[in-house]
Amino acid sequence: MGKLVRILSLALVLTLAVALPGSASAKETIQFYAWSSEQAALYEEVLNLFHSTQDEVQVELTWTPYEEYWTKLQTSIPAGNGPDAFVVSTSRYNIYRDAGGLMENLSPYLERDGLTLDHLDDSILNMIDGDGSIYMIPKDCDSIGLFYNKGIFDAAGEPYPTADWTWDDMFAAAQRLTNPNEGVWGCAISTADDTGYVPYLRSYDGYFVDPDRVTPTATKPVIAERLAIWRQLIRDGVSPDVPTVDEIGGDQLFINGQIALFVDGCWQLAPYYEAMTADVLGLSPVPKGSDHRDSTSGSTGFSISPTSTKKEAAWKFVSFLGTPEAIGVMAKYNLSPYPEYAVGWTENFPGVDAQVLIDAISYSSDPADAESREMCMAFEDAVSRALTTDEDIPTILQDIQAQMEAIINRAN
Amino acid sequence: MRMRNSATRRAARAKPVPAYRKKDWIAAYLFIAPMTLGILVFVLLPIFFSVILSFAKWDGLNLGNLQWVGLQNFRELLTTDVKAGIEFRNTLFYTFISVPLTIAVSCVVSVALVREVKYASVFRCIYYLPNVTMPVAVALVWAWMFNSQYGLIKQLLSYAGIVMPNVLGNPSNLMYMVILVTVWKGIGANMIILIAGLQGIPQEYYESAEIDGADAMARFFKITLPLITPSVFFLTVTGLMSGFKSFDLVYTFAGSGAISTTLVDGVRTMVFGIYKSAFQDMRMGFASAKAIALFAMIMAVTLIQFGAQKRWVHYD
Repeated sequence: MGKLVRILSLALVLTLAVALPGSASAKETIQFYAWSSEQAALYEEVLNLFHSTQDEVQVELTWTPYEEYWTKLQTSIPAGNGPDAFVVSTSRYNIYRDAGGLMENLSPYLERDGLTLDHLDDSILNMIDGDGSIYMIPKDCDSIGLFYNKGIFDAAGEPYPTADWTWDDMFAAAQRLTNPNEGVWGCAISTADDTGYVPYLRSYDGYFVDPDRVTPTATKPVIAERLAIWRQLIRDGVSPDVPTVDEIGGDQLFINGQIALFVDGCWQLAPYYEAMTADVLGLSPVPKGSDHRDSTSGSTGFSISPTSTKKEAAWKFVSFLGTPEAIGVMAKYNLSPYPEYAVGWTENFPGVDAQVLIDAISYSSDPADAESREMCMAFEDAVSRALTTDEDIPTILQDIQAQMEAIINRAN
Repeated sequence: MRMRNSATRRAARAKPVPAYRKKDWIAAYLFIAPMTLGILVFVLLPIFFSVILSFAKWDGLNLGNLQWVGLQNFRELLTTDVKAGIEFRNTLFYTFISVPLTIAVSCVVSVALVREVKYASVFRCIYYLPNVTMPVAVALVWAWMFNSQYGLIKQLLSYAGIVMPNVLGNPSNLMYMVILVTVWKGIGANMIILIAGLQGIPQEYYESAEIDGADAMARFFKITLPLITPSVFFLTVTGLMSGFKSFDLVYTFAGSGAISTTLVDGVRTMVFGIYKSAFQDMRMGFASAKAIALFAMIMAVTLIQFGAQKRWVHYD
């Protein structure tokens, strides 16, 4: 009997010894989803910082490849076994908000804790503040600029691009810089939306939907006119043809020194800088259209799952990511949507005027939202056909206008 | 000997199989339960759900947003959808070129490798290798080889003074590229089936044919080919099914989103269209309608094949 008591009490002590450390700290563990591991260093630094400032919430990070990321969110959150906090991008933001049940409304939390997003750039705030409610705390943002190869300019004795350039100035310079013997094209026209036709056409007030994004306007004469200019540049050999850009990629051609002028996004600055160095790489604002310039933008940020059982812990983490401390860390890695911090990122690229990409945020808006996404795909067809076939451009646009009207009719 | 005798005796005395006891039935059901449940949950339910979805409009995000639209998805598919025709044409072209080609090449390779030639097993291994590699990895390697600026083939052609055409960026060439990779990838699996069929042909047929003076060609067309028609039939049925459902290669060559829609349209198959509608346009209902249409098509083709097999398949 005495032996049994001793064994039992030993077992009890051992059980307590194992159980106690867990209950004593009362640490809550939350699941945090993000895509790809390109930002691994950023998250590691931010998470270390978060864990060192408090010891109530432990964040467990799960990576998912970008292609599967959204499907995973869309299936796991409604089922209630998804993350507590996750990364979301403006490419899905409106769709998720309108669908409901995928992102927690963060405005009540912000209000309760007396926090604001006033120091956020206005254009980014507008993008995520569609109906007066905020569903994500932005982490970074995008903008576009005109990248150029100084070596090609120097060899041709051409002056570098200036901030006053219009698209026509750019195309004229591209014409002069084209050198088939050296395999050099003046510029590269692609069928991409965010770095292609969207900023180009919008700067001429020639977008395929009206500003309310409800009525298709593909038959505006200026669209046909502008696409015809692009088509001619390809025919004249000033830009490689679409199959070549499709195959090799405009970015690769630019790095190879085969393209003099190339409109691209801020996310390409790091790889270009690394491959070409400040001696060769130049950066200038996107050219103007009729009287203004236009940049496309997007943003990624942090959201909370509405089906999470640990929303307060998740909010503790997500709100931390909106503090100056965390923003400061993240601003070293990506273009920050908080203008006062964005400068931190430009310091990674001495010798290149990365400030133009910060300035571009102020004249940016996103290329398409949920309602116009399908119309966007239809219009992309129009651009592709205009650049790869001999069809009459106004006819193509009429055709696409009819398709877009059908999309709108179906939606209503 | 004793064993066999007693076994024979037991068999002779055997009565009709007694009814299984209840316990046995439970055990039997437990054994098939995992598979049945798996099929039910992961195959039958989704199929059932997509049939239902094909009559609805749904964004795939929130079941509360589901709206019944009747036959509207099918009407759109058959009338206004601009991509449906392209997808249908591409799928037929891809399937009816790649499947017969794969089977023809596999036949030639199998006939060459069925005989005990030196290193036959090494060659069989080599031909089977593409089957055990990832389709995406395979496609990426081919894409690199066929790159018109930096690719291996461009390099080889340049020694002969030939300029490499743009295969990967040109919509009309890209489809042939996809077909080429499909054929190359498909030989191995077909070869296994065909060699098994070839090994089942009795050697005596060839011997007597030879005595009768039949040459190699006659022996192939009069003996070999008719006797492997069951295998060829099997390969045609399964080949057409997977041809109609092709997706992974097309997705790797044209799914990046950074390329022009003209190029994508060059290889856009029906399943690729289903993927686009469902996961890019967020139109689960329309995508389901496309899936049902594809199912009907595969069903029809398969039924036709079974109906026509009497005319050309010899089972003995």
